[in-house]
Amino acid sequence: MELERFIFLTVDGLARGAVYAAFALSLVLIWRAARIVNFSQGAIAMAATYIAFVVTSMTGNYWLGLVAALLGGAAIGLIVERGVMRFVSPVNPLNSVIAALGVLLVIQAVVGMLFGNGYYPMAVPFSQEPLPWLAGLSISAYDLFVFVCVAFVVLGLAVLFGKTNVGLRMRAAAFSPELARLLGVRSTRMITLGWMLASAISGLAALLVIPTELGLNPHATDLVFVYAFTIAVVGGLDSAPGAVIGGLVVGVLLSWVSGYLGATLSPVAVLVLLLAVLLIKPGGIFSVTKERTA
Amino acid sequence: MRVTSPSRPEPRVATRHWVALSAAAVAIAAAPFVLPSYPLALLTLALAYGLFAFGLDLSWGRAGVVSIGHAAFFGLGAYGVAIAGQNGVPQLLGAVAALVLSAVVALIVGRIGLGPRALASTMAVITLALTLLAEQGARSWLSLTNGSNGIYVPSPGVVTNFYVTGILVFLIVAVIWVVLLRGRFGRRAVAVRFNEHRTEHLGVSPMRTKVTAFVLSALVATAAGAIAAPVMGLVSPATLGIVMSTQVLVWVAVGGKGTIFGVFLGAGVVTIGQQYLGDAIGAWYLLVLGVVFILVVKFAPSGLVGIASGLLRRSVSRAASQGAVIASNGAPDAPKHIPAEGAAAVRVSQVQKSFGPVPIINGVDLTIQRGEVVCLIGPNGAGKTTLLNLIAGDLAPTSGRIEVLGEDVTNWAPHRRAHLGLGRLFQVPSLYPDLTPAQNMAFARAEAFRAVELPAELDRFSAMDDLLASDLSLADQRSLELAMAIAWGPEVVLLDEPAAGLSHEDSLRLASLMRSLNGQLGCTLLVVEHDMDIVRELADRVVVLANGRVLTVGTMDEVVSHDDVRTAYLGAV
Repeated sequence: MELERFIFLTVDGLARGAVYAAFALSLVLIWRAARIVNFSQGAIAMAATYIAFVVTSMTGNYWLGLVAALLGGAAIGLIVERGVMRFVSPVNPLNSVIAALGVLLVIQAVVGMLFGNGYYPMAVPFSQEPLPWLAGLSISAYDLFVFVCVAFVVLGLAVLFGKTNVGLRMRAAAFSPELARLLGVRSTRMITLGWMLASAISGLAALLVIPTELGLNPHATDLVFVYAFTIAVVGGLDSAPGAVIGGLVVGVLLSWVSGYLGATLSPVAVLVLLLAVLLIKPGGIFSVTKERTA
Repeated sequence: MRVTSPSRPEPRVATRHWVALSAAAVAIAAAPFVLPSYPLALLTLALAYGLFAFGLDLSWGRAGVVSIGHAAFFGLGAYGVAIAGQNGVPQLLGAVAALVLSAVVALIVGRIGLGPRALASTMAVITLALTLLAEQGARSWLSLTNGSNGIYVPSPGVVTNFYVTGILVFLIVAVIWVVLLRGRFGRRAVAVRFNEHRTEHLGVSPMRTKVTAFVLSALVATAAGAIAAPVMGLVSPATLGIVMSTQVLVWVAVGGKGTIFGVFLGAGVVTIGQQYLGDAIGAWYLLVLGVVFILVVKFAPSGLVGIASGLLRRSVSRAASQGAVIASNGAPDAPKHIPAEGAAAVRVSQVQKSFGPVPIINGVDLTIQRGEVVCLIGPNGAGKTTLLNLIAGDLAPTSGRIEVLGEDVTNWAPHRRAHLGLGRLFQVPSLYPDLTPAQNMAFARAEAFRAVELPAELDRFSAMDDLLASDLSLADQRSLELAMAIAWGPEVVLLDEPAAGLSHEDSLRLASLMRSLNGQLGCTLLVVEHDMDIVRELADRVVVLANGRVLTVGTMDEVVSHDDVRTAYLGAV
């Protein structure tokens, strides 16, 4: 009984952690592209989920909704980057935090105006009952679907950045926009692309987690953003593998805390974890020490 | 460039401030006689919210520390009063308990979130987590908070409420303003916000200043919550929540951060606007607020008050310091630290430093006696700047031991080393670009290690008060940095290529100026320099660094004739 519960909590934690990892990946992507911690990421993802909700309700097809979340997320990312963030002076990192916060206010206000502040139930395409043929592991078909989606994102990013020309250009633009531009890379376009990609991924992550965990409302992703940031910090903001491993670890940790100690304590656990990591290893656990600035 | 005569230090409370304070007092006293009860109640709420905004501004506007979850502190104060009232405990006791708790939380969060290597966004996320957590806590802890329904706080009547709120808000703001903002804290907060690095090398701990600002800011927000509780009537989880937290950011940004009038104006305009406009345009109101916020942040970062005072043409220096008094009579009669008899100025033993696998400093031993002028030369990449950074504390050595003026400072932060009398100049001048040259000088003097008499050539900046330091030419910025560092009264100064970018004549003049500083003030100088003419003019001893090792030490002539030095510079011939 004890063991069963432990396995259940761990698997559940892994599934949620995978979603957080995808969300954290989107933060890492924007950090790498523009050296900005995007405070509006949660709101962008929430808005993308509303788009999916509308499409699914109208067509009755979940998969069209999923595509809509990806495209809608990318479109919102494009608007936010081209419309606001591009014009924020990078001299003081506080400016981008504040500007992104303004974007968050606007997105939440728009969604609140269109849909109200109530909760909408959302359907999922697969059962959440444990699969009988994976006896004892209490993995549901939906969990498997989540794992597959996230694995697809992780592999896709690895291929993009490791194997393709566009990925190489994006890395170059993030590393040194000026130098990349001199070498013929359209740096600003690469940064925009990074925002679109990140926003699409966070839209997907929100679509995966909102129906089962949070319920659709304008503040659905507030806490998820904090989780994702914590994961990104644990993993080192620069490190994609760090975000994935950090996501799974934090997901399991949260699941244990809420399972054994009570659900209301899991945000406390996240805050404690964040403070502890910052106290002990401010650069993140997976980061390479990089001190030289001059 | 017009040079005005140096003005007397500004008094803490000038005539115009007395006028403003009296006007505020009269307005508060008169309001209940003028306003009907609903507007008066609104004004009461706006005042309490204004105090909340003033609290946030103490960290965001003054010290540049943003908190996205400040409602957590505000709500804590409100809940303190509400819970006390509900349980028959005096409300004051509840408020005090809330203040203590909020100080503890703010101290912990500040110490961790404002550490030397934390990102600006780290603090933002921690405070965001705090407000989300507080809101959820208030919803779940039913026995204490009555969950989502909240707790009613009885109101003692509109007029009483107004006077209690008005008087408390007035007193808190006036005391903080006179005692802290016009004093040392205000000066240091401005300095840290404008240039952390420079401030640190003038002996002020940036972290301590920022943590102080944050704790103070949390306390004021908590007090504002406690005062607001009977005014709001109902204390619910939303009081601590994310929406309230972002609202207060909007008030401060729209009104104008860094100004008292601005934060109260912002809180007032938005609160009163919400009451009247909120009914008319409903949900559009939030959208309008969000758009205004983005526009303000982008086009008018100093808010409504900033736009207005831009039209008033205040003097450059007053606009720059935002109400802080930069000058102070605080220059000490005696140096803040007297080194032990016979202690060397700097002693570096077996120091190594690598970045990842790359060794930059490879076991350096170097002793510099007090009163010496030592030049550090070597080919590019020899590790000269790294060595200065190691001595000044900007970098920690991988191994080895560093002593400054007889103290083992190997693990000390830069500001603690500065406290021994260690001054520092950078390759790219590090000043307060948004203050006037005179204010730059005044800050260095206010934080001085010991009082010194400056040569006229450097003292000219003390009277330059009608332009910003960022308007100076590069050569003047360099001189200003030198003037600041010397006016601060250091025992030992580290200089990184002080003559870079100067013409040959100017460089030689700078060299003779430095020699005279050494002669008159007894400053020990450690100078990284490329120009051999200057080195010849300046140095008692020359240290040649190559590949992270000391190649040779000696007089200029000895060094120049040394074979290894030629090889290091020219390659094997």
